[in-house]
Amino acid sequence: MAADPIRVGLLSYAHLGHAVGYSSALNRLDGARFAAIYDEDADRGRAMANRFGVPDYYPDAESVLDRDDIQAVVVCSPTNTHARLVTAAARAGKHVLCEKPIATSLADANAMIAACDAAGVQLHIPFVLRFFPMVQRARQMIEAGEIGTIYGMIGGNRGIPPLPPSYPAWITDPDQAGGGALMDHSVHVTDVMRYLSGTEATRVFAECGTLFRDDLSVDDGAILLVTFDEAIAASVDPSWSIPKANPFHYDFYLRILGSDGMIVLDETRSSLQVTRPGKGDRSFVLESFGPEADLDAVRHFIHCIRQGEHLPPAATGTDGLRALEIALAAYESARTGQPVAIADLVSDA
Amino acid sequence: MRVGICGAGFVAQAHAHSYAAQPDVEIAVIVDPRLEHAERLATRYGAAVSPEFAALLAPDVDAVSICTPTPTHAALAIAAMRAGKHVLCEKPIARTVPEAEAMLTVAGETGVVFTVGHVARFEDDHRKAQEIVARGDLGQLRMASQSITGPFPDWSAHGWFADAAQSGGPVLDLAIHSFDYLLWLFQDRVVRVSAVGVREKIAVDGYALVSLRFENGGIGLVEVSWLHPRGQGLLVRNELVGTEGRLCWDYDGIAALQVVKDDGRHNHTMVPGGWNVQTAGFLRSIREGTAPLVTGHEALDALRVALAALESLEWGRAVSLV
Repeated sequence: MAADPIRVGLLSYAHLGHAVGYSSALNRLDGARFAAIYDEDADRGRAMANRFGVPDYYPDAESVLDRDDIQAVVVCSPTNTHARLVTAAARAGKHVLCEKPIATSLADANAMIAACDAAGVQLHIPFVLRFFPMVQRARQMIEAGEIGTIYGMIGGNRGIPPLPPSYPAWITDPDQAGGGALMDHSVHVTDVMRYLSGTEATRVFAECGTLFRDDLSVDDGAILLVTFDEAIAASVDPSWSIPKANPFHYDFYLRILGSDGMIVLDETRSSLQVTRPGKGDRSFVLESFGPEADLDAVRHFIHCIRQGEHLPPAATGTDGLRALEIALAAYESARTGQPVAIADLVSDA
Repeated sequence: MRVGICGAGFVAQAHAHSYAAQPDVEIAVIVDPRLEHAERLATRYGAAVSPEFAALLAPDVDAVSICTPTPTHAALAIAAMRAGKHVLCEKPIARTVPEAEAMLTVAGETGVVFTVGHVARFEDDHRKAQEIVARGDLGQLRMASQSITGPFPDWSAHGWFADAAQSGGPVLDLAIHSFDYLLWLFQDRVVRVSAVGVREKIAVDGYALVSLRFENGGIGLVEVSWLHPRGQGLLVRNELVGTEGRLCWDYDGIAALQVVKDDGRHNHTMVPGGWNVQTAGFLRSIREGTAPLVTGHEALDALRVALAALESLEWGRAVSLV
């Protein structure tokens, strides 16, 4: 006899792309039931409820959290409101899958982690790269010693600038998003670096700026230099540096150099080169056949709830905190023009 | 035109080969205290050999290539210029800024053609990319990254590469190509340099990641390595992003010739043929009295960036260049 599906609510479609991805995933998973939606935008929320066949839309989050039949929530609100929604969800006894970045401040992130701990609920951060088979395989190889001692890591997650109308305005608002490209994208790469190397960032230096556009009040270009465990040299390119006409709109790559070899991960290779009559100026595109990361992350979230345990490879709230520490240290470094020790950032917080 | 080559090691062979490919040029003499190295090279081109530097200062020698370890560049180039010889000096221009400045002073005083072997600028792929940037196809250049990685260079005389005091490790010896190239592309000066690295096997960072900030706000990233697996060979990757467009390439992707055998696939990138273009340019500057593409001042700017990167690695701080 099949177990009852886990009943899930989604809080806000502000992080539109991912929220839609999670919504589809919930509907595709037999083990989940997409039961309720809260969205601060009523028109959008009702439209999504209709689109995904969700019976209940509410204009306030509390109505979702008050529902005893709902066991978990997915939070896709603007980053600076994650703490309010997640702490409320924890107090209501709901497990949480909360979009990245975890929050815009260390205080918020710590509050979220503490609230979920206190309530005994799981807090998952969808650092979906962990679910990529190539990342899993690389971790096995590294743990087996195939490339020896890690010397250096160079990685990037670049994208097109997330501008209206395709993206909501809050993503390029410094207060709501907590920053620009550096905040948006560095977290994926630094999380994978931590995950694969098993090390922690100790120092961060960053160059950062609004380089490509003159109508943004957040950064769109950055380079981070990160030292892990005082020994590994790493760099991250999180820039919104991909032109709309580019064959790919997002990429992820990571090269890890060790004493006995090098691993090269390049997600854009999981794609077909297609020339066809274009939409706009994109007649040559790379059509990805890579993993459906959002689906894998949600499937695993549901599985963990059913198992009563936060299982690898899912990222925890603390993983989200670590990635945020690096991003905030990077912004501080960009401000001062000097490297920042993570220990100093944390103690000053 | 008669040229002399100082040094008969790895890079001297490239210089010799490129002179031999030019019309109306004769290699008069190859100088190296290791006479057997000089002879091995000289017999190919019908050149004389000598263990003495003074042989390059003979009246019938018009121009000299300096292909010796970095710390000897300044003294040898200065002596050659004072003797009225035009000089093509290998990169890096010198080991220290004062040495490089002295070279520029002497070049200015003697009026000879003085240039430095930043050969990457002359390679077909690098030249094409620079053309695309210069004609504005990418809009204004705002971010650039170059990665030059390979195994430890085991071809050097007495293993001088492994001596940080002499070679500066890959951050000076290899990444100097990237620093010069990015300075050339951005047409802007670097105001801040920061670096992280790994010190293994040799007493200098064998792997480093260097960030550059340009005065107009542009950002550069250079990855350089002597610690990469031998199986990779020397690999160069490039990305240039401007306000309107993006350009990228890497050596594997541009290897038009591949040889596949039982032990694997070997890519042959045809581009490191910039030597001939570099040499032709040097000789043209001499004949026509025009400035060379790579000026001594530009070579000094690249040296300053490299030395700032080494300083950043040593002290764990970003280094300001203004």
